Amino acid sequence: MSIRELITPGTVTLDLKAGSPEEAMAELGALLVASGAVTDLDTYLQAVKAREAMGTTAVGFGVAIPHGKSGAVSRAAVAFGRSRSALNWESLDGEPVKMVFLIAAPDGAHDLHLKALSQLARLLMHEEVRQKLLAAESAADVINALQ
Amino acid sequence: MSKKLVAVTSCPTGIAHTYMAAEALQKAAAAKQMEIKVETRGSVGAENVLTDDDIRQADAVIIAADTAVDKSRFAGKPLVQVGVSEAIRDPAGLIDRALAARPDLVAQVEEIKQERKAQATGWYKHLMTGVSYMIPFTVAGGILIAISFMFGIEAAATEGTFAYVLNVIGGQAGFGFMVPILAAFIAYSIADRPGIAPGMAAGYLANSVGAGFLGAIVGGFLAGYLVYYLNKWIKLPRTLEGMKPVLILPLLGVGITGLIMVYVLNEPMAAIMTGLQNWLTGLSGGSAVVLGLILGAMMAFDMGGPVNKAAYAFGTGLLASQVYEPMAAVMAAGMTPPLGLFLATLLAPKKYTSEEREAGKAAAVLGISFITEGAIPFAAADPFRVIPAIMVGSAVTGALSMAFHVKLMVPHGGIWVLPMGNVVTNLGLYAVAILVGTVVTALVVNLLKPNKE
Repeated sequence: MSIRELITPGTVTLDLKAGSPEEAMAELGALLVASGAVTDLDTYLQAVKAREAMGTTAVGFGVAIPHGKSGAVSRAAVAFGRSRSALNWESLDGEPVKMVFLIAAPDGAHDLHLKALSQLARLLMHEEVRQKLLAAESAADVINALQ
Repeated sequence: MSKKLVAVTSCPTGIAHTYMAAEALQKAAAAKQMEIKVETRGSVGAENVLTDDDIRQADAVIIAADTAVDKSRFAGKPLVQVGVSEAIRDPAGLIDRALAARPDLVAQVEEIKQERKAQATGWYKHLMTGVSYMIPFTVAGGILIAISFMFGIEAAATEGTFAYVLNVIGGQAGFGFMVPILAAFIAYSIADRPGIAPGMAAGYLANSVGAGFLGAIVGGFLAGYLVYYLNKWIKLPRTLEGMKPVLILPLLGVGITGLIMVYVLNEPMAAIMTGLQNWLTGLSGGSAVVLGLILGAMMAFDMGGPVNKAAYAFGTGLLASQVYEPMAAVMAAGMTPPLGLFLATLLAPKKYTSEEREAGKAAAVLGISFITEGAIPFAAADPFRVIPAIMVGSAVTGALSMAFHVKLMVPHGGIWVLPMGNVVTNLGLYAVAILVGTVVTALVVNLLKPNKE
């Protein structure tokens, strides 16, 4: 399975309103609920916040990848949000966060989904991918950047 | 030749950081024109798993993980261990640090021992818990008895003399507790605190009829599982729950265990133990040598693992029944693997890397201290040559020790306890047994090993 099946135009926003990490998680989480991937936002966000408490997911280069594995997730999915202002997120390199990938994985997720998520994580380490994401003008551009 | 690295990455949920760290390390290594293989331990399971060949060929190891990673397979390698974020933040710096790292054999051996302890499960873990609590009593008892003999071998027989007092302390307060403590802490390992009283009672009863360490093992497991299930099955109203640990469990635990010991287990266990004792003390010539060969080979086979510990527990447990020869064979055979490998690096330096030659010096220190694990870095790098060689050497030492009828009254300490009074009989021949095994180990391993190009 490809990353395309995890992220859809409906779960991409190029105008993230959130001013804080918590707000960003809730805002992108709502997109995952709307897409049907997450069944209970509060339960899912608890898992995400618990993971965040173990160590920041703002991995540097302006990227954060909060993620949670929860029974409140019906299928693996990813939401992407780009912020016009930068988010003040405690990051590994001290840089503010401009792009947030919120990852949802169901309990006992199928290997194929987890593999696709791991590919996404690897992609984000590449400068050219991040540049494309920063320059994206539409949800389609974002999804294409992740091929 | 370009440098080769291996790495392991892992993070709490195993969804993102594991793979980002892996990618970061691969990118950084490519930029430095180095080869790297990264094992990712994420939610998919371990992928791209490092083989023994990968590890052998690697110049350095990077562990970037927020979860526990077994380090024993990297023994003897330059290694850095950091949190997973560190590999994402500064992969290039991490590679430099790994290549600059020096293997610290003594520290690594200590870690391997800790990890093995933490990984032990089931009956093996319970038995080893019991043995580890028993050892201090054995050490103190053995040395005190040995000192009492320094006043003359009959001095302790006269009541009221200082030698007699030492002998009472060592024999009754030290050795006398071995069997009860072994049983108590086997049960403790199974059932936690409620296991201690029934376990100790079972050990006491086993001791009283001479069922020795075999009785203690059976009694300890009986008491442990009995109390574990009593604790689980007995449900009391909340108001009475407080009675369970102070009244119900001790009464039923000690009572039932005790009755089973007295009416069922004591007699057969004592008979087995007496038979074993008679057989061991009557051993001579060929059969003693065979026992020494087997115990010795077991000590070297997994260098501190379950097989080694089984031989060790056998030797130690027999001290409680005043059978001292197997203990001597076990300790001597546990010393020769690291000692022999040290000697091998001296005799044929060309067959070893500079790191292995360094490790050899540390192995010598570990060897004389009876820390068999000192051989692990060599065995990990070349198991099919090293393990047979050290088994041969240890078997020879075990057999010689048995053939010379050497008796050892303490379960640990390597050469450091040997000068103390009469802890060992036939010290000269004992030294011969250890030296011969050391030389045999070195010769065999060097015969098997090719020169490094």
